[in-house]
Amino acid sequence: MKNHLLLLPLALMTFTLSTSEDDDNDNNDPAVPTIQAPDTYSFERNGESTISYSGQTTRLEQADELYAALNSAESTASALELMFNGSDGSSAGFANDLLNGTSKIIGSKTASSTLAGSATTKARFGDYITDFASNVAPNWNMDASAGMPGSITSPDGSSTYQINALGQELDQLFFKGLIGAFTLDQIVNNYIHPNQLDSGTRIDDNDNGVLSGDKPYTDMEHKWDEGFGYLYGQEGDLDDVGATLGSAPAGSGNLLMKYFKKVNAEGGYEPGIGQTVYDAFIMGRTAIVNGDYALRDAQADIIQVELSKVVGYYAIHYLNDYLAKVEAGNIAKAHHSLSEAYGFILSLQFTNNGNDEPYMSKGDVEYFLDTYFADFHNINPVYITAQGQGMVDVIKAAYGNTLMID
Amino acid sequence: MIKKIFSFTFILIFLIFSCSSDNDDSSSEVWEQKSEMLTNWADNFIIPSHSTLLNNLVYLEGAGNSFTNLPNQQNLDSLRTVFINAYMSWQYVEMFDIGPAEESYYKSKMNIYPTTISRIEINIQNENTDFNNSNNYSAQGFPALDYLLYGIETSDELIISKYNTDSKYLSYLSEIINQMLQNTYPIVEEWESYRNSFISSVENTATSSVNKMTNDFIYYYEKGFRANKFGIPAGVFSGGALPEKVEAYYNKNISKALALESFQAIKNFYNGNGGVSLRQYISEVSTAEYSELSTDILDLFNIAENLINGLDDNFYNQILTNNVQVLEAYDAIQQGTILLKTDMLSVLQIPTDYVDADGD
Repeated sequence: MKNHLLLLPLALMTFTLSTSEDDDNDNNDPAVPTIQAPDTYSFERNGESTISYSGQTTRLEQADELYAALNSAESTASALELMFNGSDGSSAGFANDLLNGTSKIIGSKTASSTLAGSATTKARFGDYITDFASNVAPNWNMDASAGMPGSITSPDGSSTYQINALGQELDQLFFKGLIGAFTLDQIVNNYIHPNQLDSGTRIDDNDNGVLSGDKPYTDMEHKWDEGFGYLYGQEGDLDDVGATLGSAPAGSGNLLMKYFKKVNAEGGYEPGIGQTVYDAFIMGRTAIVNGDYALRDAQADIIQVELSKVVGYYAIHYLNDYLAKVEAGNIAKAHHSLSEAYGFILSLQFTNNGNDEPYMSKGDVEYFLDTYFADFHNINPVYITAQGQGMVDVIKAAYGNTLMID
Repeated sequence: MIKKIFSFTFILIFLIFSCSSDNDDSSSEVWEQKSEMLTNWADNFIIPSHSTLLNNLVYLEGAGNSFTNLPNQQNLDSLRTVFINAYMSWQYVEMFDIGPAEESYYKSKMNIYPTTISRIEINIQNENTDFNNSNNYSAQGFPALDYLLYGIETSDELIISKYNTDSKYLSYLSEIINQMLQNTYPIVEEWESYRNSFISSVENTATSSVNKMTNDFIYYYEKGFRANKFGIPAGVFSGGALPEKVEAYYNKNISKALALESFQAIKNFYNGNGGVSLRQYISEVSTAEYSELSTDILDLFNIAENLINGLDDNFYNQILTNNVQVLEAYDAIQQGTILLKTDMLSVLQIPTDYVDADGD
């Protein structure tokens, strides 16, 4: 699935250095890379920064408003739909007017990559909006029960959640699903993939320093930045945070970064993942500047694998948490945790194992969601806990038992 | 799915090529195969498909003349029949957006839908027939005819009556048919001379026939087939569904037939119909990792076709009553995009020559 053309020169280099007489391979010069990457994500051309991902920041900010709207009894289907899909190709419906009237629309980037995009998966998100507006919002102050949407409060009275007739908290299905279908998919299956980076004349343009219109960057540099932006787009100005983005990302927003930070944190599932990913983004961008596409793709592989783990960790985390909450008799929180787990499981189909395959296929994901977790009022814990067959073990196995979680 | 680790043999093969000559895929067999493929494409696909279309457009002109002379139900029925025949044969032509067709924006003049009704009505009233003005691309061709033959009034009786009372409608109708012929004649003619340069352009460059036609084929699959016929009307790229954007919206009954015909054209082109085409070429050059690719593509085409067959003849109705079925068909077709655009191009070592605007 990767563009082999780009990897070939490297392979050739290894085997043919002294055997081949004519050296007219026009891709990239086989000088052994001694490329120096900067310490931070900082790249300039003629003294001007070449980094730009404002479109990603805009979408991530739109997502924050949509998240709030999915937690309000006042939200109508049309208002939510407008925020999600815009109107006539233009974003609309946000309180922050800077987020309106742009070509940046969350829905247009949901389950939309060439590799993992799916119209039926995207339709699930539309269904969540409809269910929320038609059934949950009107029953905001009713007591939820099996078959009855409404609110459910934890025994200590501290937390109240709104769930649908199946016991699902829809904003969690929606947002944990978006972590995969939107942020992760756009990064690992779109922007840092040769399908996007190499299409059209982008390789030639990048090799020859042809810039994107009147911008200071090449198209390929920009696409890589856009991938970067879907993770780091709300972390603040790179001049301020660039030095600590690797060691201590802040976890801003409600999507992938929020959980990436948790995995990286001290006591998290995999401290150090933050630096690994940040360094790979920096080295990949450096490789693009130097026209070394094999090196670039090797960094993309690292990013694909590492970011995909975040989804696996938190799918398992919330399944475990669900069991713990049931055990503790906190049914409200159990519904909440299982809703988060559901969204993360939905996200698994958008992971990328570095070979352009998801850790779990769309078909498998749908099978588990639609059979094991169809009705939250009627969950058989064996589906989660059974050795080898339960959801937790299935996810671990899907990741080749590389996840460091019980 | 395919692993990116190369088999050692592949490296070895490539190594031999790279050392033996001055081109990156210069084995004489591959060269010959490409040449055979281009000849097959030109002689058994492109040229005859255009001829068939041209013949059907000539029939269309005849039926159009009969209707103009006497706008009655019988002549309307005949005109509609030849319109459908011509529209079906167009499905075998749209993908060849190369050479003379590309230069003259042929595809845009023949099949942009939905057609712009307001533009058509203004043109009719002003008797404007400047069809080379790009603003009028969406006011001509098959979609405009679809509107004129089925959509200008709510019943056949009223449609016929409109043509009888307002001669401007009749003249716009014949102008459009005439223009479709005028668009097509030069392409058929130019292919006679263009053929030789087309079939001799076998090198692996962005402008070679092999690279361009392969890209055009995939572009047609992704845009002309997947997006235009399914994705856009089913709302894949928007919020809600947009059923009025189906092909032949005013006819109501042939959107599925046109889509299936288009799919047949895609499969024929891929299979080569007895000659060498992409299927054979992939098998020839694929590595062990991609050894199943040529049949994987066929299998996927069959899965997608079965799903399309399960849809209502009228996609408009299908989208309104059960859009999920359309989305499922779309997803299957999309799997084909991955195989063609990512895997096949990787095997053939052909870069994609088009990009999608992503709004960022």
